[in-house]
Amino acid sequence: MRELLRTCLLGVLLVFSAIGTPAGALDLALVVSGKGGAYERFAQSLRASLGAGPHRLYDGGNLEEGVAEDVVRRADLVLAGGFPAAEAMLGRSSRPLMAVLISRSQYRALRRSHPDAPFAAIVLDQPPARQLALVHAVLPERNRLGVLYGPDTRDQEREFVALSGKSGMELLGQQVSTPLELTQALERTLEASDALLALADPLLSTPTAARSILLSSYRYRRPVFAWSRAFVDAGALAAVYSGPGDIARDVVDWLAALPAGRLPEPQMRMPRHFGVALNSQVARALNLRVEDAASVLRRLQVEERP
Amino acid sequence: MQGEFRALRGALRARAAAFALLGPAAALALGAAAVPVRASEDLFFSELPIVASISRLPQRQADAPSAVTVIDRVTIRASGARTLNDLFRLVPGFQTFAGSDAAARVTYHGVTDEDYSPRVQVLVDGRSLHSPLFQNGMNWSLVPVALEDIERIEVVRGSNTTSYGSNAFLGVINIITVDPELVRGVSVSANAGNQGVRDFALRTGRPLGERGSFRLTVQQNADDGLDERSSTLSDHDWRDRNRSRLLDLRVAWQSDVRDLLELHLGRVESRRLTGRLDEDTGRPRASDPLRDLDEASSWLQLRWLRTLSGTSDFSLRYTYSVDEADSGFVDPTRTAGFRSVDEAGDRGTRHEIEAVNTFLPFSRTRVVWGASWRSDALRSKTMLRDRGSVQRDVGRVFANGEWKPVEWFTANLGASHEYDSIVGAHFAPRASLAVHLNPENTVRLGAARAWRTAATLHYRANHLLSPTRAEWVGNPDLPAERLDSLELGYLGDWRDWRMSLELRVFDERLNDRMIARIRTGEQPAGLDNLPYTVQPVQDLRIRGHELHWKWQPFEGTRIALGHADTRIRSRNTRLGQRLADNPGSNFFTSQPRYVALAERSSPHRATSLMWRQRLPWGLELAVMHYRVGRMKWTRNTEVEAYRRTDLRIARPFAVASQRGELAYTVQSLEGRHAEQRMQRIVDRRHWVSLRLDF
Repeated sequence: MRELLRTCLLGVLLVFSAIGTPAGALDLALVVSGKGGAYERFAQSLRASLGAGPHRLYDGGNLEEGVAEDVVRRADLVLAGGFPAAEAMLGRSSRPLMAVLISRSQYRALRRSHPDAPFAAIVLDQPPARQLALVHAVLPERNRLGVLYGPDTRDQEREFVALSGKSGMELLGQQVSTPLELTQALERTLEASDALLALADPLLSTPTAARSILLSSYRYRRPVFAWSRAFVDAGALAAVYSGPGDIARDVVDWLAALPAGRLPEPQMRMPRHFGVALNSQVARALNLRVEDAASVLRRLQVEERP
Repeated sequence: MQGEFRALRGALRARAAAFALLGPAAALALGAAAVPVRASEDLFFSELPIVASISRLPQRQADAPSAVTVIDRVTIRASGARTLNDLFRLVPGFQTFAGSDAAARVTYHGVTDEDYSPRVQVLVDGRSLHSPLFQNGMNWSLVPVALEDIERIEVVRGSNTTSYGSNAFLGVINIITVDPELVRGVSVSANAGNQGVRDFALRTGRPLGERGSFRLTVQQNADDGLDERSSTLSDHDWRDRNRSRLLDLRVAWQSDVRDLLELHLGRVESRRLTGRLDEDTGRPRASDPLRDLDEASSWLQLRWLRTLSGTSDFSLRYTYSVDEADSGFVDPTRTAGFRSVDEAGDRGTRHEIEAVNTFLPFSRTRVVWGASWRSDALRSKTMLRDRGSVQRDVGRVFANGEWKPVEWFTANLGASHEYDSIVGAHFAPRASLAVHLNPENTVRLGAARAWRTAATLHYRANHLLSPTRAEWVGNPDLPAERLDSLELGYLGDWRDWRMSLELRVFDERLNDRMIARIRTGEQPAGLDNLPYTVQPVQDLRIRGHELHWKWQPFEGTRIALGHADTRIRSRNTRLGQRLADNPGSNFFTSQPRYVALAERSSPHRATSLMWRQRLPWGLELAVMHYRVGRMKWTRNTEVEAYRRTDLRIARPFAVASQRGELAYTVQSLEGRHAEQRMQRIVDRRHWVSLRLDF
């Protein structure tokens, strides 16, 4: 109830703070956490996607080289790329903010530390339904799916369980709290399942944890589904992921869907644009016949169409 | 805020620098540090270490150039084996025996007479266990890996010198150990049983920061060996005993996403009773008294694996190993100055460097090519008297290609060229074609030529009994053994039935088979006796078939049946025939025994059955039954056909976070039989095992 009240209040705040902007056109300030890499790709994609649209994008700088405070001050909406940028902007500016390139758990952390701040987010985590759809699309005959939850992702278990009931998939969830538990958790899960789904959790993403997950999966000859292209390059079978370009397109879509003169509701949204990565060498070594990534992606996109 | 962020980054950099400076020791201390908070871009966009580099992904069995039997760690544990060689009873065509005063051996398709099984290559994580000290063979009492540390064993049934070097003459035992990443915590285990079985082991593994891991094993195994068959003499009070100790460390360090560095080092020691009793008096012989044979092997291996791209990787490996043995005694009956005897000693060293590149030039072609260089040195005061340290260098280049132009066909082609500073150069090719009739059924046809060079000692030995009398001298003109093999294989993989069947029909011609203790009847210049030498006296033809059938009729039931039917025919080489016609040669006087040694070096039939069953109350049962036909391991001994049943029943348990296993194992349930020679009794041996994981 309190959550609902807070959402309504924030919505009102966001709406009021947007009053005064020309209908449909917003001044956007992009502030990112660092130079280059995913931030740079996001900025380029966003610029390209906004194109000649109504909104104007201004470079608000980055945390490493300095933030352009006047740009931020003048903006109708601040786009913060990465957790450090979002946290910094929420701390020093009262402008409405949309955080991107952050995880679901980071969104929650921001919400906890800034319960009343007017901000929304597009997170990088993929919807559980999409992740299960990927497993089903790649390996339709495998029904027992082991799912590894870390401290930051264990809250998704209920959602996964609910969805598995609909899809007819048997889920074997395993929670891991510390790195030392990982090996045993993997053994228990892999022994009893046909494939493993690792969720985007900091505990599971260290180089040693990734090696541990992949080496264990080869030991049991079970394929791994993960959350990033890097994980697939490292040796997972497949992943659905949203790159900086996908998130940029999501931002543009979101802005385009806003009623004129209004700013986004203070809520978290999962990405609608995504890609599929598939490691054909791993598929071959595990003696699995799988479709190519483009076909799997098309199939998932068709399934998600309303 | 920005300042704080920079300060945090600075602190992280400082910590990284400390790691780099202090190295693994510091990392070890910090190993259990909490998971650092990772930025979202790290979580979703950072590169991760390439685990599935092209050389590390397994090849599909249906595409492999030879028959491969995989023994995984679950099978190893279920088998109840205490010694590595016991596992090969499960592999069709392989033979072994319970070690006693004679160290265990493992052979494939017979040809048993040499002490150190030189015709089957044994590798642990790429390192060959064949040693210059152990006559270019494998000493099965110095196994440098604990069974618990083995991830899986790939047993290649058939010659493959192009991939694994000249010791892979008849087959390959390729042992892959558990990655340190998969060992966490501390595990202690112990076995205690009859016949002096007393084993202890401690294993541990931890992370080394975010990038590395190590595992460490310390183990001691001991037993009283085998009893001697009672003879007309009263109790000899002769008891065999074996003890081995192992220290094994493996470290893996992912220096960045594309580079993996590995360090292995360790030492294994063995002590066992050796010597003979005089048949008339029952007392130890002066020329071979009862004494300890101490052997040890130490090694260091460094390996760098670089992933060049998604379809190419490169590895560089350096190995240094030292083998030592001592069974020295003083023989008062010998000439002064020649009384100190140590036939097993003294020391062999090996440096080896190998570079391998695996890549996919096209989507359906896989190529592995590389080169290696090794430098061996052997020193033995008794066997290489006055020769000092004998050096031997071997260089090798090799290439193997797999081509799969269409889904239903795979071709494998390989070749190697080896240069040996003692023997000269040899070229070995191999080819195989596999037709996949459908995803479940594959037929394979293969042909290979291989060469096996002898031990350094066989070329250079100088074992003198006095200035003018020799026990054994080298044969510098010894040609390499040549093997031409043909095979027809079938692989059925019926996943819906959870069943697989693998058949192999083979025809192998082994030319110039060498035998170590031949007196030619001709007296070498400067000597006034007829010493033993190594001579290429026989051509062998080995034919037969093998099958390996696996079935999992229910979730908790697994059955594996192996069977081999092997026939060996021997014919004397031209030299062998000349010696067989020379009354001064022992090849003349013992001709029937030499023929029998060749033709019965493998049992005509051998069968193994393994049944694993999950039982109520969490119990796990495994029953292994073996039937082995009569055969000969040495010229002067033989062993009758025997049946043997081993059984293991285990109960894994977990109390809170404490896990472990309690097990009872019995070997040779039927009781007394012989496996290596009739004089040594293999009797029922049983023990209780307890393992606790912390």
